[in-house]
Order: sequence, then C-alpha cells, then structure tokens
Amino acid sequence: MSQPLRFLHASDLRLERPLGGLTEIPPHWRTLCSEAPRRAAARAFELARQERCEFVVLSGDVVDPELAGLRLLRWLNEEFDRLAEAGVRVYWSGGRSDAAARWPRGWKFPQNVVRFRGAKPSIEMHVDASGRRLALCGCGASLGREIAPGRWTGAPKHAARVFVAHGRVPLARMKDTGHDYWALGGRSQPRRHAAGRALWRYCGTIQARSPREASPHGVSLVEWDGGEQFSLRAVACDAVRYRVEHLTVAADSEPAEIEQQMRQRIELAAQDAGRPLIIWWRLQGPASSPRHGNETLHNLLSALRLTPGAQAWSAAVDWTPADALATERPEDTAAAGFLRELRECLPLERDELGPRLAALGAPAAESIFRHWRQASRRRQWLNDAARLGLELLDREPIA
Amino acid sequence: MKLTALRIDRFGLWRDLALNDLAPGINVFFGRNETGKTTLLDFARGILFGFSPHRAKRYEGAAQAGEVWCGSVRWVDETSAWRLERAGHEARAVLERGDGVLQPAPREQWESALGSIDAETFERVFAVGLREMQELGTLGDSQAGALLYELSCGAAGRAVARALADVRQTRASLWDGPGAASQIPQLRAQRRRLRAALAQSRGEIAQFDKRDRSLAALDERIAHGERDLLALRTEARQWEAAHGLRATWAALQSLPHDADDPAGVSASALVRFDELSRRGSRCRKALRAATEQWRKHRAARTALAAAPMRSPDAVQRAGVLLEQRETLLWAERQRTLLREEAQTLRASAPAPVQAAAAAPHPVLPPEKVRRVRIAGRQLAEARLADEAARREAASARRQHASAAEELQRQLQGRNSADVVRAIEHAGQNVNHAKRRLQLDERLTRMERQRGELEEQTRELLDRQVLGYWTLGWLGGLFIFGVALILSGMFLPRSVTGAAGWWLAGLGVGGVGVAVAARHLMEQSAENQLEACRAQINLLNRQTEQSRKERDALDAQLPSDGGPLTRRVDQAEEELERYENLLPMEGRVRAAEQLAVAAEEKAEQARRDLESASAAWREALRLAGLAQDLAPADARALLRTMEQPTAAAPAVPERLVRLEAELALRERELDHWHSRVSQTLAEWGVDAPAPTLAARLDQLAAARRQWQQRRVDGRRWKRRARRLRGRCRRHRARLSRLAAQRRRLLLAAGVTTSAEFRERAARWSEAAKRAESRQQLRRQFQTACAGVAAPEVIEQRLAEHPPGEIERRCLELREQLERAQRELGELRAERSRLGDAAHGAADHEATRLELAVVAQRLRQALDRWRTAALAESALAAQLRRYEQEHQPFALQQASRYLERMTGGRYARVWTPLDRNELCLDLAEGRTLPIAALSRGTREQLYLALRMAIVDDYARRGVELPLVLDDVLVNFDDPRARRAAEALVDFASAGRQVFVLTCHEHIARAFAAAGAPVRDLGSGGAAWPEDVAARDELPPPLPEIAHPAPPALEPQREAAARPLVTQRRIRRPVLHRRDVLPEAESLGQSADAPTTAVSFARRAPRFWRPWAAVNSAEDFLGEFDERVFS
Repeated sequence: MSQPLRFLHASDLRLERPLGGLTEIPPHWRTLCSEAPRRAAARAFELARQERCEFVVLSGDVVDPELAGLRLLRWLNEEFDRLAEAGVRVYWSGGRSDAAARWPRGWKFPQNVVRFRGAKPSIEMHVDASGRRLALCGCGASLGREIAPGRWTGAPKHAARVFVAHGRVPLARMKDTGHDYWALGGRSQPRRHAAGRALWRYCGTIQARSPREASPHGVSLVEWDGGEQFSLRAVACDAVRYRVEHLTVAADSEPAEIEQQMRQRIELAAQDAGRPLIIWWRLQGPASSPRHGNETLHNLLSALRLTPGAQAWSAAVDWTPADALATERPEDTAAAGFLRELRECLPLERDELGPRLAALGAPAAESIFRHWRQASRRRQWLNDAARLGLELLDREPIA
Repeated sequence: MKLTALRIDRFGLWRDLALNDLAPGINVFFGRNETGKTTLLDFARGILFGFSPHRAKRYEGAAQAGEVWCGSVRWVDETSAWRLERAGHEARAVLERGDGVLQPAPREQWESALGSIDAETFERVFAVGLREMQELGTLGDSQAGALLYELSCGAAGRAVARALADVRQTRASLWDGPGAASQIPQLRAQRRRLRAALAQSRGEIAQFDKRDRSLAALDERIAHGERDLLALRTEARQWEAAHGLRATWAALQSLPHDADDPAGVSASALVRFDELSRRGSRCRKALRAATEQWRKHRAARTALAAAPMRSPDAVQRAGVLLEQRETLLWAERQRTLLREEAQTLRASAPAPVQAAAAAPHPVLPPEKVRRVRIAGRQLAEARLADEAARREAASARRQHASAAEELQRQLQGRNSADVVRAIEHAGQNVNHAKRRLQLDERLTRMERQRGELEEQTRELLDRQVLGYWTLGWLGGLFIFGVALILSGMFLPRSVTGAAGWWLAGLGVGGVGVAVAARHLMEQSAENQLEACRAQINLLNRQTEQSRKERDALDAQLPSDGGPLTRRVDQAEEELERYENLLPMEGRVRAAEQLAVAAEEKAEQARRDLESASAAWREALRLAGLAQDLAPADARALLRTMEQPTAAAPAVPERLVRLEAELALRERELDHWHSRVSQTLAEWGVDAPAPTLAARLDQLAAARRQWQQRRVDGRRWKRRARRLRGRCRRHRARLSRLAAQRRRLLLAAGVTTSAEFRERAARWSEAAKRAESRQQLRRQFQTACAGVAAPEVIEQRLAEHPPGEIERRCLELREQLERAQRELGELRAERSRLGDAAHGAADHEATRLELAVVAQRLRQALDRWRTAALAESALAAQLRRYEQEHQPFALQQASRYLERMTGGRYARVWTPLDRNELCLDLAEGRTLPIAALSRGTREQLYLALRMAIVDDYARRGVELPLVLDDVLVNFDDPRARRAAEALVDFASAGRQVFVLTCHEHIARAFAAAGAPVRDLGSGGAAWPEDVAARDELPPPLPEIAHPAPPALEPQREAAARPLVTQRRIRRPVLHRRDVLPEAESLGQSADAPTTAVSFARRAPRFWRPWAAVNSAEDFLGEFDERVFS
C-alpha cells in the first residue's frame, strides 16, 4: 500500500499585519511581537518540510505587497526557496490583499511556486512520485463574493480535486461536490464542514492578532490516501497566543487576593499553551465597587506585568460588571439622576441624541454618532460612562 | 424635627451626660478645649445615623475593654415624640404617641422620621465644622469660587459638579480641541509619523526592479574591479617577491650543481655499514669466547671421561664402610685396651701361673671339658657379636634418619617431597615453557607467512585483471584477427587479393590465440589464487591448532612469572636445584640400605646367640652339669672337676677372659681390615695407609672425589650444550651481518670498506651542498608560495636589474592603492543600494509600533467618548440642580449674607453660562469670589449652608443644623452679626446647635438672645451675669468700596432675578470683565503661589500683616483693600 499524499493547507498569513490590541509592549517582548507572524509562517513551512509534504496550499491573504516591506517579500521568497530544496511545491490562490495585480511588475517567485492567475478558476495537475494525480483549482484573487461551487467548472470530475479559494462560503448550505477538499481562506478562525465526500476547511490565520482571536491558530495537514479519503489534522504554529481570562470577583475581595488568583491563572495558562501568552483579563462582579475602581485595576496590571521571567504578558485588566446601567440607587440622589440620564440615552437614535451632545461640541458628537448605530458599542460606552460617573459620585466627601 | 434631649451613657470621654430641655431654636454649647465639644457633635451624628466604623475607631482609645457606645436621643415632630437608643450597632426606637403610649417603631419608620437621609447627606448638609472652614481657607480663588458655586447647587449638586469637573478634566487630557497638547493629538501625530515611515516601503517595492538592475550592473563593475585588483595585487606581489628574494636567488645561483651520483653512499648507509661492522665485531668476539669456553668444557669432560667408573656396589660398599668408621675405630680402640690389660695381667702373674695359664688342666674328661669350654666360648662370642650388631644397627638407623631429615629440610618449601618426582615435574615445566616459546615463534612465523600469502593473493587478484599492455596486445591481436576475417568475408579480393582467405584464416588463428591466451592467463592466475587461498586456509588451520595448543599450555603453565624466556630460565634453574639434591638423595638411600643391612646383621647375631646358648646348654647337659649355669660358674666348676696337675699353678680367670675376648677382637678387626683393603683396591688406592683410620680417610677422599667429578660432569654437559647453541647462534648472526655488509658494499659498487667509506665521505659533502641548495630552494619557493610560480620569479630576477624591479614595485603599489580606493567606493555604493534593494528598514517593528499607537488611540477615543457621554449626563444633572435648587439657595443665601454682613453685600448671584458666583455690594458694585476676603468667603459659605438647610426643609427634611466653631475666624462684629443671623435663622423654625470654645463667640450668641450652656459644667446654662456681660467691641464702621466698573447693558439685563434668568440663554460673561483690578496686579486664578511669593517679596513692615493667617488670608485681605 502506497503512502498517503500529504500536503499543508495554510491561509491568511497576513505577514504584514502586526499583533493588535496592545497598548504597551515590554522591551523584551518587542522582537517577539513584531516577528510573530513571520515566525508562525516559518514554523508552518518548516512543518511542511518535516512532514515531507508534497505541496503547500496557500488560500490567499498571505501578504499584502503594498504594505509589506521589501525585506518581508524577499524573506518569503527565501522560504519558498527552502521549500523548493526540500522538493515541496507551493500552490497559491490569491486573496483580497495578495491578488496578482497588487504585486509589483517584474517580481519573480521561485520555480516551485505556482500562482493561480486570473479571475476565473484555473487548474493545475499535481503528479506525485508514484504517479497519482491530484487536480488543484484556484483563482488569482478573492472572488469578492460568496463562493458558489457550481462556478468552479472545468475541474476534472473523475480525479480527486483540491479547490483553493478565498472568500465566504456558507458552510451550512454546502452539499456533496465529490471527492473534493476545499482549502478555503478568508476567515481568522478555523472552521470545518463535511458534506458527503467533500471536506470544507477554513484553516484560519496562523497567528492571532487580537483578543477576539484568542485560540490556537495554525495550519491544516491534509492527507489524501489516493482514493476517496481526505483526512486533516490541525497543527498549531502560532508564535504568540492570545488568551482572555475571565475572573469573577466578589464585592469584598481584596486586591491582593485578586492578584494571587490572577497569578495562578497565568501559571496554569502558560503551562497549557506552551508558548508566550498575551492575556486579557475580564473581571466580573458587582456593578460598582469603590474597592475595585480604575486605580485598583491599574495597580493590578502593573503588579502582574512586573512578574519576572513570566511567559505571559497581561495586556489589560477590564472590569465587566453585570450591568452598570441597571444599578439601583436611592431616588432623588445625584447618582440615580445620572443613571437615569444615561439610560434615557440608550434607546435614542442618532438624531435624538444630537441635542443632548450638542454642548460637548461637534467632534464629540461626531465621534459618538459615527458608531452609535452599533448597539454593542453603544451599550459598552454607556456602561463605561455609568461606571465612570458612579465612581466619581461615590467618592468620599470633603468634610 | 426638633431634638429635645440628648443622653450619652458612654461615648468617648462622656459618661452619663444628659442634655435635657434642648431649645427648639438655637442651642449654644460653650466649652473650652478638651471638654468634649467635638465628641458631643460626633455623638449627635452617631446617635442619629449610626456610629460609622472610622468614627468609632477614633474613640477606641477612650473606651475600656468590652465597652460599647450607647446613648439616646429624643425628638419631636408635628405629630409625635421619638426616642432613639443605640448601643453599639444595635438601634432601637420608641414612638411616644400623644396619648402617652410608648410603641416600638420599626427602622423604616424612624428613618423616615429622620428624613430618609443617610449619614453622608447629614454630613454634607446639616453639619458644618471648623475643618471645612479651614479647608475653604486653603483653597485658591478659583477653587474656592468653584466650591461655593457647587455649594449653591446643594450638596448633591456639589457632588455632581465635582464629578463633572473631573470628567471634563479627563476629557480635556484626552482631547481638548485641535492644537492642544493632549493625548489624542499626540497619538495621531505619532500615527502619522509611523504611517509616513511605512509609506516608504511602497517606494522600495516600486523601485525594486530598477534597483535590482542597478545592483547587477554594480556587481559587474565590482567583479571587474576585483579582477583587476587581483591581477594588480598578484603582479605587485610577484615584483615585491622578486625584490625580496634577490639575495636568496643570488646565493642559490652561487652554489655549484653536483652531477648525479647514482652509486653514492648516503649517510644512513654509512651509519648502517658502521653499525653492521660494529655488530659483526661484537658477534665475532662473542663467538670466540663461546668457542673457547666450549673447548674448555670439552677438555674437562674428556678428563672426566678418562676417570674410571665406579660400580654401584663399590660405591655402596665404600659408603657402608665409611658409615662403620666410628664403630671400627671403637673396636680398634677396644682391642688396644684389651691387649694392654692382658699384658698387664700377664706381667703381674707368677711364672708358673703364667705357664699354667698357657696349659690348663681339665677335671672332667677332656672331651666333655673341651666341649663345654667350646660351647662357652661360642656363647661369649655370640653375645659379643649380638651386642656389636645391635649397636651397629642403632648407628645405621640414626645415620639414615639424619640424612632423611637433611633431605626433607632441603625439600621443604617445594611442591614435592620426592626429589625424583620434583625433577620430573621441573623437567616437564621446562619442556612446556620451551614448547610455549616455540609456539609463539611459530605463530609469529605463520602470521608473517599469512600476510605474505594475502599480499600474494591480492597481487594474484590484480593479475586476474589483465594489465593494460597485455590487454592491449591481446585486444589488438583480436581486433586484427577480426579485421582480417571481415576483410576476408566482405572484401575478399579488393585489398588482399588472392590471399584474402588465407589472411582470414590467419585472423581466425589470431583471434583464437588471443582468446586462448587470455583464458590461459586468467586460468593460471586463478589456479595460483586457489593454491594461495588453500595455503592460507592450511595456515589458518595450523594457526588455530597452534593457538589451541598455546592456550592449553597457558592453562598448564603458571599464570604469573613474566615473559616466556624468563619463565624458561626459571624452570631450568629449578631443575638444576633439584638435580643438585640428587647426591643427597643417594646418601639417604645408602643410609637406608645400611640400616637395613645392620638390622639384618643384628637379627643374625641374635639368632647366633640363641644357637650358641642352646649349644651351651647341650654341652652342660652332656657334661652332667646344671643347664642354667653361667659360663663363669661353669668354668670354675670345671676347674674343680678336672684332674689337676701337681705343679701347675692356677691361671687367673680374668686373664683367660681377656685373652678370649682379645682373640675375638683380633679376628673381627682382621676381617674389617681385609674388607677396607679390598675396597681401597677397588677405588684405586694403591698405597693404603697403615692404620684403619687413615685407610678409611683415604676411602672417603676417593669417594668424595668421585662424587665431585660426577657433579662436575653433569654441569659441564649442560654448559657445553648451551655453549654449542650460543656458538651456533653467533655464527648465524655473523653470517647474516656479513651478508648485509656484502649487500651494502655491492650496492655501493665497491669491494672494500675503505672504498665504501671514501665514497660515503664524498657523498656526504655533496649531500651537504644539495641540502643547502634545497634549503635555499625551499626558502625561495616558500616566499613564492601564493604569489607566483618560482620559475616566473626567477625569470624576472634574471631578466631585470634590481633598480628596475624596485621602480616597478613602487608603480604597482600606487596603482593598487588607486584600484582599492575605487573598489571601496563601488562597494559602499553597492552596500547602500543593496540595503535599499533588500529593504533595509525594519518595517515589522514600525508596523507593531503603529498597531500599538493605533490601539492606544482607539482606547483613548473610547475613553474620550465615554467621558463625553458621562459629561453629558452629569451636565444635565447639574443643570437640573441649578434649575431646581440653586435659585432658592442663592436667594436665601443672599438674605443670610446681607444679615451677617450688616447689609454690605446685598445679593449673591451667578452669571449666565458661567459656573461661578458673584456678590453685589450694597452700593451696586459686583465682586467675584476671588476678590473676597477669607472672612467674607466663610460668611458666604455659612450663608450657603444655611440656605441649603432651608432648601432641604422646603423639601420636607428638617434636621438640626450643627455648627462646630464655624465663627472662629470672624472678628467680633462679624461674629456678633453672624450670631444674630443664626438666631434669626433658628427663630424661623430651624433648630441649631452651636459649639464653640471661644467665650466671646458664646457671649455674642448670648447677646443675640441664644441660650448658652457650659459643657464644662455638664451642660448647665450660663449664669445670666456672665451671659449679659457685654465685652464685645462696638461694630466697626463699614468701609466704603470704590465705585464698581459699569456693567454693560446686557450684563445689567443678565443681573435680573435668577429664577427667570436661568430659563433664557445667558450672555457670555468673561472673567476679565469682573477682574480688571486683580489682573492688572498680575494675579490670576491660581493665586496661592503668587500670594506667597508676593508675601515673601513684600517690605518688612508688610510682613506681620501679611503673615496673619496664610497666603490666602493675605491675598483676600489684599484684594479687599485694593477693591475698597
């Protein structure tokens, strides 16, 4: 029985895009954070060499040549050269940012890189050493709309096929298209869908760049047994991992207790991840507590960042009370009136909010108006405003 | 509500203090310091709203262990009377109905009676302390103005205003309009800068193709330049090498070239020749010495061989005789003694006796007597012989035991107790060791032989593949044959004519010969190879057998003992030691045989004695005598029984016995003499000595000589064997050395050693010259290494004079420097261009920094939006407070301030669109808060607090106002007017408690009609005479203020009643409009620093006045003076 044909599926490398969500980076993390996407990509290519993959499939958004520096592009070519030395070919379907038209004229890729060109799907046949044939079908750029499997005509139906595409696919509505593997790109988070004999896979970006992408990221190692079976294995390649830690805090918890709990969580999380972590702390508890004000959170963050030799960096400590707007205060007090005022803002539309914000000036109003339609942001702002106002109103009196 | 009684059971320093009959209006408590005024005030707060932890902690020091604060308070409202008791955190209230019924009241009920306000609100609204006044005094103008403004909005409004100010400050720190140095603009500028840096990368990428081309062109130029530089450098180095090697080259040229001497004798050959000669000489000497020794040994052995051989019996007999030496000598001595005694007895006896003694007379018939006497004589002889034989046997046993003991002592410490077996064992060891040595030599020989065979095998394997020449010859023959066949087949007549078929036949023959020769050669090589392999296999088997035998011998031989040759020598020495013990072994065996012979002889003597005794008894019986007679008794009896002769005298019996014994000894000694003489004759002693002892000595000497010759013979035999082997080895070695020497001479082409040495000397000189030449050549080549071929340098040295070489060197150096400089410039250009082409900028770090800045900006914008929303809500709240509470408060405050200032300040008001208070003087001028003195500010503060209490009362919350020494900073007239104002305030239905430690203030209140209680006396009322004493100075005349600046018409319009003004859009009133004088004096809103510095700069006479209270006091007083 012959060995299964193995290939690596990666997408959304976004080499030019740095880590996000950070407001402060310690000096000894700067190199790691700045090189994190490149290191993750290097790990992925190294994995392809170690696993003796036949080829690497890139499903778009590898790098934006207009934003990336020349050094980064040349580094990518060097990595492709290393793959070529190991006998690994690269099939690259364009995405939004790395479409062929965005590349400088005259830029040359190594011989082992096969770029799908044109707006319509084109076909490349891959023949391995034992003569097995695999059809790869891809486009030069993202289709910019929902991918419809019916449009991918021209691919031989009698052979196993790998469709390399970048764009949105309604996975839930996908049906059996044959012995196909759909190597998809365009989503940050990995997703998988199997419909009959077809396997649909978004392998996600290889390096998370915001707390919203707080999970392991990497590539998919796909094996084709030469017949009808595609099997895949997800391998994490990220150099830095984002993590959001939720911590429930009682109203009477001392800051030292909270710090101790956070340190324990950091230790466990670092052991679990096995790589540097960037942690967002979400403290949950009573809506408003003078004991846990902004100053306390700031002190907590400073203390956590001072931990020597830690493999985790605490990026922020946020307080997420149950609902500050819903806090009950005695009637006819300033706090009650203040909360009432904010609650009245919540259902207002942009035009209705205008008169209330007129006194703040045009920039403030415009800045708030711009995102007021987003209910989540609106509620978040009002909650934060409620917390800020309550904290100020609940201060100790002068006398 | 009005407090009617206050009882302190335990609180702080107070114990069982009862303040009953509290007035519904104003109550003034006077107490000096440390009398518990503040404690009373804290108790009043605590009894109404609970003892807060921090306030209770303040009085922990005054409490005893286990004590809790407890007390009660009574109050009345419109419908009922209440009593509230507290003990620690426990609270219990009782409602006293109008009909006198007491009813416990739930908490909600009595808290509702307290206006449903908390302790914090009470603190903010109804309690005014000295600390607040002091804090007011420490505030700057703007801060004091803001505080008083906030106060005008009420307590809650004040909190909202403060929160609003903080939010505004936060928002301003984030973004305060374009151009301000706030956080968001800074972040935006940073973001712009980073984006601009990243934008350069696009330019890099756009120009990468052009840069690559430029880079390639530059690379080509650099390569060309490097080639030129290399050529120049090579040329320069060659010329410099030629310049530097001129001396060496000249020395090399000066050395003559010797003709090649193929038959030259090298120094090593000469050394080898000398060594061979020396070794041959040594070997020859050794051979001569060994031969001489062998000859000596051969002569000695010849001499030994000439000596007569001794039979073992002769040796044994001699040994026995020598062993009997002591016995024989003893017998000879006995015979001598017997002779002397018999001679003495004969000489002492008378002559007849002597004659008679010669002729005895028998008593019995002569035959019987003679028979008895013979028997008796035989018996005596037998007894003597038996005794002698027993002594001899004992002596032989002793000698045997002694010899055996000596032999055992020699063998002690060795493995065997038997010399013969030890010799056999040692001989076996010698044989094994020699065999082992032979095996080693054999194995070595076989290894060498196998190596040669393997080498031969490899050669044969190589020979299986035919050599180029052979293959070429055979191939040529084969091709030639094939060509002839083909020509015969296809071109039968064109080339060869009629002989075509013959030539084809010849070609067939050639092909056949070639194939056969190749087959035969390969077959021969294969056969030889097989034979060689068979020999190797045989050799392997033999080697294996030898190894097995060697292992078996190793197992038999002792494991230690060093090398094999040493072990062989040791075994031979052991064998020699055992062989040396052989004579001793012979002696032991001879002694043993003698002992056995002596035993046999003793046994024979005993049997002879028994037979003699039997014959004696038979003779006695025949003679008719008793058979148990002893010979002596029988002899005496016979003498009596014989027929004595008449003339014959009796012979002494002693003499007769002596004679008989002497005769016996004589016979024995004669016997031994004859045996000794016979033995001496056997041992070749021709002239025996006269005495027995001397003869025995001769015999012993002869035997020792024989034994020594025997030992020497064995030793010489061994030595001769060794010497023969040594001579053989020396001869073989000598022949080898001679052969080597001959080969050397033959190789040198000479016949004698003298010629050899002469040729060696010549060759040595030539070698030295060649060495010098080689050394110079090496120096030359070393110097030329890496520069050029030595021939090139030699050619330049030969073709160019020294001056030209030097000049050429200088020229090349200059050219080289110029080329290096140009190449360096090209490289620098290439490096710059290469960095640009490869993207020198670290965009990853820049992008990360941009992301961080963007995130910070995003976060700051969110915070700014949050603050904006909070500010909006707080501002709305503040507006509500301003609209709902401030007008009334300001109206009331204006009334109270006018009362307290004696009508000097007519109104307190707030301009439109500005959150600050202004005061109108009675004459119409307007002053801002910043222009007020500290005392005026405190008056305004107190008036505002009173107005707030009124505001709360208007909303239904009526609680007593508690004032703790708030008038302490007032001068007497102000204090009096303030007291009057407070009394008026109380008379309007407000209950007021005033605590003071100043007597004049208490008197001011008393003068205003307020009841004063002395806390020092437990709350008792002041005596009327004290209260009525009016020591207060008369009020000062009011200072006339300068005319205020005229307000603009719109400001005049704005200064209308506040209730209506708040509802319309207020015109902007700028600060400079109300502070012309202050700003003209260089003062600003943050005046404390300015005031302090001004106070420091003030003239001396100003200082006491300036240092009255604080910088704020100074500023306030100064402003008031200026404005007045």
